[in-house]
Amino acid sequence: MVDYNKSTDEELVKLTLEKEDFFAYLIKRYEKKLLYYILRITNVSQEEAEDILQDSFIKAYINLNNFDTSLKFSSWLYRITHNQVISNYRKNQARPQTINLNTDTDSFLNLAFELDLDKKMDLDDLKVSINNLLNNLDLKYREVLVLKFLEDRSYNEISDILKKPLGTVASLINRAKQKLKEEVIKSNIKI
Amino acid sequence: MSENISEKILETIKDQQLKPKPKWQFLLQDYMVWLSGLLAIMIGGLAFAVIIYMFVNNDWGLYPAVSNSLVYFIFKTLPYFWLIFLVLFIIIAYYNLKHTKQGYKLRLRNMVLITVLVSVLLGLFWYNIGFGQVIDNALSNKFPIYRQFINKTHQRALFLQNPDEGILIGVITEFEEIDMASSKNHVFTLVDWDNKEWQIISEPAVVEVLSVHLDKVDGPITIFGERLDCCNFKAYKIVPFIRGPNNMMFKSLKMPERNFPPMRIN
Repeated sequence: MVDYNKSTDEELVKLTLEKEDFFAYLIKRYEKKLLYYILRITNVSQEEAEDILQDSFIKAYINLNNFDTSLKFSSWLYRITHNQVISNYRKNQARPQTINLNTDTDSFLNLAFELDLDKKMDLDDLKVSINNLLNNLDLKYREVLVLKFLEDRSYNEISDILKKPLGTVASLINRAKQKLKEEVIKSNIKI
Repeated sequence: MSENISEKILETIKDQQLKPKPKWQFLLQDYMVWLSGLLAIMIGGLAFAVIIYMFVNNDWGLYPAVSNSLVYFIFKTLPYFWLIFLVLFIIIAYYNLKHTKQGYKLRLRNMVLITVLVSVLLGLFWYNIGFGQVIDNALSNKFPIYRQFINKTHQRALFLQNPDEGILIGVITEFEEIDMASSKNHVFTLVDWDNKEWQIISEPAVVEVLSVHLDKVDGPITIFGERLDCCNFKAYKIVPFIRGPNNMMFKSLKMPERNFPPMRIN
């Protein structure tokens, strides 16, 4: 009995192209990560995020023959999800909800370190602070910070996901950190 | 969440009978994007070839007669139509190349630089094989509005021709070598830019740039000399009116159509 959970993404893509049921393995592998990603960079509800997630997977399925094997499958899937989020964001820009980061402690500490925030702060307060700070940023800055520090993606992966040159990604991250530090000062958070 | 999402997605795929798009569709799309990008670069190159051709034939030596300022002369005589055309196709080329699979990895300035460089190199190549003039002539023949407003040959000729001041521009229709008191002279009939016929006498004249005899010239020429009377002119210097990338190409190119007698083909 083959354990398809141990198959690589590329093997699962090949199998899915033969029979759609294998797509379930890819969905299960990435649904949680992608859902958190959607929630981190948008201000939509859990329900809406799940809708975006579904649309992203369906789009991925339809375009499976366009998967560029020179990329990581995860980068390709994140790219489709990113595009779906942008599309949804343009339709619903007016909604003033707060983003929900839902991230592990290490990722928060990563970002806190980048901002020189006081790591002795209460962890919940730290999360709320970072939540609020990110919420005040433009989407283009928020998404690179989320990908870099909370999703722990490399520069190359971010370049592949956002379809931007490496140099541009590096500049964006620097500017995003700068903007975030300005938000820190504005909000008088202890540093 | 977990249990439902994958089931919902697979249900949607089955209910709507969704299928992955076939690979050939994506390949076709990729090829079209590449083709469009390369085509745009090639057209940009052709535009640049015309720009070089117009630049070479800009009568730089005459600018003091037009203006005191070289800068003003340059701005007055820039081929704006072709410059805008070139920029437009560089933008189209950039857009297409940016949308290739790996295109996003190049920064904007590098992408534009590469596009411009390739267009310029192609342009230089095409100018050197005479395409600059070919395109300018073809458009002048096909589109009167191009001939009137963009093609410079007609404007240049009207501006420069002045028989009283010793300048004639036109094409040779008949040619003869005659002995005149122990030296050979050329006598030929020239139809000038105003469609007037002249008898031109020249001592063995050296045609600047060309190494062909006058009887083999089939493009317009400029004659510097002296008006003898209403219909006779003595030539001291004869040069091609349109300068090309090399002498041989000048011989084979036609000038824009006007009310001239048919070209002599040798």
